[in-house]
Amino acid sequence: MTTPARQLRITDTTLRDGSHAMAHQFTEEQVRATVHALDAAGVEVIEVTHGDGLGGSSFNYGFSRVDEIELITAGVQEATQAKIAVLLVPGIGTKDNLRDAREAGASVARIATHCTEADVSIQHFGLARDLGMETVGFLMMAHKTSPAEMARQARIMVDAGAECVYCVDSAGALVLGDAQERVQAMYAEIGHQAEIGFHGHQNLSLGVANSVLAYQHGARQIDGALCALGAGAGNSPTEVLAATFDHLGVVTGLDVGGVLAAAEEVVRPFLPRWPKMDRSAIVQGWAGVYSSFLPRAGELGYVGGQEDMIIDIAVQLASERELAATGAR
Amino acid sequence: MQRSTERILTTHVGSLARPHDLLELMREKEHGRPYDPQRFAKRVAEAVSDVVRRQAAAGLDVITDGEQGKVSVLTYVKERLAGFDQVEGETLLPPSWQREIDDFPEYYRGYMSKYSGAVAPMKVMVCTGPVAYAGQAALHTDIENLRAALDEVDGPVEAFLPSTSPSGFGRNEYYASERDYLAAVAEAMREEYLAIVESGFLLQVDDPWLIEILTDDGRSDPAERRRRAAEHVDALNHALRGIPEDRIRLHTCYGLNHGPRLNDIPLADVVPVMLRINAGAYSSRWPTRGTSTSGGSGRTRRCPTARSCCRACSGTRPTTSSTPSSSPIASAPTPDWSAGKTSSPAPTAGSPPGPRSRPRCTRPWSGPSSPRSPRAPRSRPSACGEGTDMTKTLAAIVGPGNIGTDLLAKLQRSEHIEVGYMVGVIESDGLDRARKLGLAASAEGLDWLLRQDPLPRLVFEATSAYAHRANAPRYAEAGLTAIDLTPAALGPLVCPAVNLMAHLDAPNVNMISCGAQATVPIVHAVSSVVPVPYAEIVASVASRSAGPGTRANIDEFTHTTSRAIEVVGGAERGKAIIVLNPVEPPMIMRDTVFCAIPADADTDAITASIERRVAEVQRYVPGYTLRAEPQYDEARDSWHGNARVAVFLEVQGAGDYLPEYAGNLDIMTAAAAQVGEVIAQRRAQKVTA
Repeated sequence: MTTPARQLRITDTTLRDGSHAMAHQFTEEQVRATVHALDAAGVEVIEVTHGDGLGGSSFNYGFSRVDEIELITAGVQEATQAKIAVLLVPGIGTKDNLRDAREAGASVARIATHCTEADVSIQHFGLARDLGMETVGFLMMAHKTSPAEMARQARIMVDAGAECVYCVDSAGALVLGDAQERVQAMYAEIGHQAEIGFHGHQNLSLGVANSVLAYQHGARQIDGALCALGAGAGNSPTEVLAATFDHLGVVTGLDVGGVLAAAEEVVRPFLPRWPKMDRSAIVQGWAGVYSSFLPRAGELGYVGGQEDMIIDIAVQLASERELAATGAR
Repeated sequence: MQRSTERILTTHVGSLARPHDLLELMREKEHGRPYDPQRFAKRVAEAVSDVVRRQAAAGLDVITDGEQGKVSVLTYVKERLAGFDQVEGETLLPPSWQREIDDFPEYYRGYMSKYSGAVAPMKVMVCTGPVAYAGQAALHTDIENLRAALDEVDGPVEAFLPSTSPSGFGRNEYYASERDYLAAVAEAMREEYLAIVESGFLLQVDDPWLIEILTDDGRSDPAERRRRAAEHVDALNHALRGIPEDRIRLHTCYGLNHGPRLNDIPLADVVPVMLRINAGAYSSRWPTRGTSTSGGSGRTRRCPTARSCCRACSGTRPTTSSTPSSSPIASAPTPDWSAGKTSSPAPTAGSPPGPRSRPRCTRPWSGPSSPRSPRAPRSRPSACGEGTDMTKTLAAIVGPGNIGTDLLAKLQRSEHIEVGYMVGVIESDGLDRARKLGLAASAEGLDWLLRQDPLPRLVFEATSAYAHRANAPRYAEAGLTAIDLTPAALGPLVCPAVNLMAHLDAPNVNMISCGAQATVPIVHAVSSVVPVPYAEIVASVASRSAGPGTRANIDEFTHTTSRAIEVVGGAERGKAIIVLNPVEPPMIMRDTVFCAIPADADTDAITASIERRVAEVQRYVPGYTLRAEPQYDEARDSWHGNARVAVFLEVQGAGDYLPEYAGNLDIMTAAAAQVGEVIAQRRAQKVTA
């Protein structure tokens, strides 16, 4: 019996996007166990990095408990067939970080920018190609711009050397048609040269549904995280993606039972909390704000990476409250 | 012209693939159908920027605009020369092709048929009236596009613009003789040659027709071919008269196609003629098939003194290299370079002594050596005229763009500095604004500045890291103190509120980065109270205020700023993060500084130190403010037992010339002005002491 050809590649980002929900406290044992289970279940690409990408360990985004290069090394050692991917956000991580990750055995470079700022990634794609890595572009906060602009930005990344470009719904704010139109526009622009990917979040509980729509309109790489591990409402759960695409007859090469076991037996025991659609998560998706930002941040138009503004907004709100309390203007 | 004295420099011959959508626009334009000229112009500019970036990324040393706006290497001149009509459906078949077509009819049938679907319809330019140059605007656009693109990249050491030789694109039906016709076309093309050289770029004369003239087409007499070639060379040399050879490279080639070619004339027949053309470097695409080009020997040849040879082998991916001047060319199947020629030709009477035996280090586009007498400065700086305040230090700003113009506005309020000169490399609004303010301003680059009397004592570099690296040795040689606003970082990193006094006598100081100017004073304020094992800054700037140079080199910002946090700020380890925010209306620059501090640090003392330092910075950057009191966090294990102070800053620009949100740019010009002010003040004290 021959194995049917894979039609869709699932990338698991439990050990990168899930790092936010873990306050970047992953241990080497957790990484090894997770990679081992995902690898055995047929997942071909496993992302291991600080939640904010290489070099993200900082006051601003939270320090990693274990140096990410050590975690990447552990992941590489544990994987038998899977490739280890790393995320790099230009402005946070540098080319030196990417070289270190490559040295540690990472073989997929995912370069992420805000959805309108793709041109900051050019030198990093160049380096990734020079290092012989598979290249993936990551256009974040995709709800902040139009499908046409997403296509233009995807073109910049492809011209810079990306072999796939993702539409990344960082805030879980794309509602069905919004995701579909973006993927369609990107496919029309770069589909003949590169793959399209989709990374969904569950703020409005549409991560998996948007992923199916994305696949139906040309996306061939989809991100998920076991147990939806991620900030707020979390990511599209890898185990739900596996089951859903299997049900639809879309071959992902994943063993659904193996992925379910990885979620239930490996990740669930160390979950700090089940990612859930609580009020703040829904408001994030509704207002289109990244991660744990409040509606106030939406008004001010902050983008991913500006976590330093949280304290600042808090201080400003506190002083406004004080002024209100004293009746001053 | 840069020579391969240290290492082998790389270049190519000019034309690079155009984007498909640009070709579509070009097709409409060439067929005389309606098209959007503004969109065309915009796409050409973008395409030039893109190919320049790609050439730089590929590591090429001497680069060009890839002829993105031109339909072809020769026929682009139809828009630039008056006196020609175009006859559709006719082609000017290069003579060297006929024998190949006879030998390989099937191949060339297919090759030619491709032209029916090409961008431009087949047309021949027929001269029907007096020839004159009419391409000033198009040429100006070429120059501007290339210059703008080069400003955004680092790496290339020089740039060139191609221009066609007078032969090969038209037929004469107006002038009495071929000689008169050639002379008229050459004289018209001279205007383009001069403008390119004056812009600071190397001129590449594309001369494919030279070989066509010499080609044995089976019909013409060899003596007649040599006579026509001599006529062509004379006309071209006449057009190049007075231009230093050092600014000219000549390119010729055997045909333009990649098809089979068996009948090319020996290179040895071409080279002596080619070397009569007054150029400083020659490039040629030679078929790799040895017999036709070998000239039959294999002797070692020597290129005439002070000339360079750029060699390329034909093929889809030419390998190119240039050899140092006057070095032996050792590759075997080359012709006798010295045959019939023992010295380089004498320049035409009246030309200035060319720098032909002295390779110079020139700056590609920011300091041309003008072949004609330079335009006189429109006005003299008042510093040497009547009513001069002799206590003021005379300064120049190099780079009349947004930063230079904003800097000028600030320096006009200076007590100790008089800006006398504004220097650009092309006529621009920035130069005009400077002239209106009474400065002597020139588009002739650093060469012009260094000819001025008096020379400035201070020069503010507001160009690019690339340009500054080229200019810095010349400033040093002329004894000018350089204040560098580019990321070149050749001199000590200076932040006025921290370490200026330590570098007052440095010949070159660097202003680091906007993020460093905003945050390093705070890091230093903390580290002067307690040890800071680690400091981290986050700079958020409006996308619109981050130019393509910053974007393409974002790691440069991160590295330089991290280094400044350590070296200038006094933290043991520094980290910098930059976030570009595209929100509209644009956000005002925001900076956050985190410093790890000892668990038992005296927070009141730290806060007082920070507040004092903010006040100091405010003296030269009025829009620099604390958003809130410094915030303290208790010690944590995950911080290696350290506590933390967080400082939130906002930098609003003064709105001198740049918009207020661009505080990131304002803090650079304000800090540079402050550095200049202090240096000038000290100089004045020395003079009066």
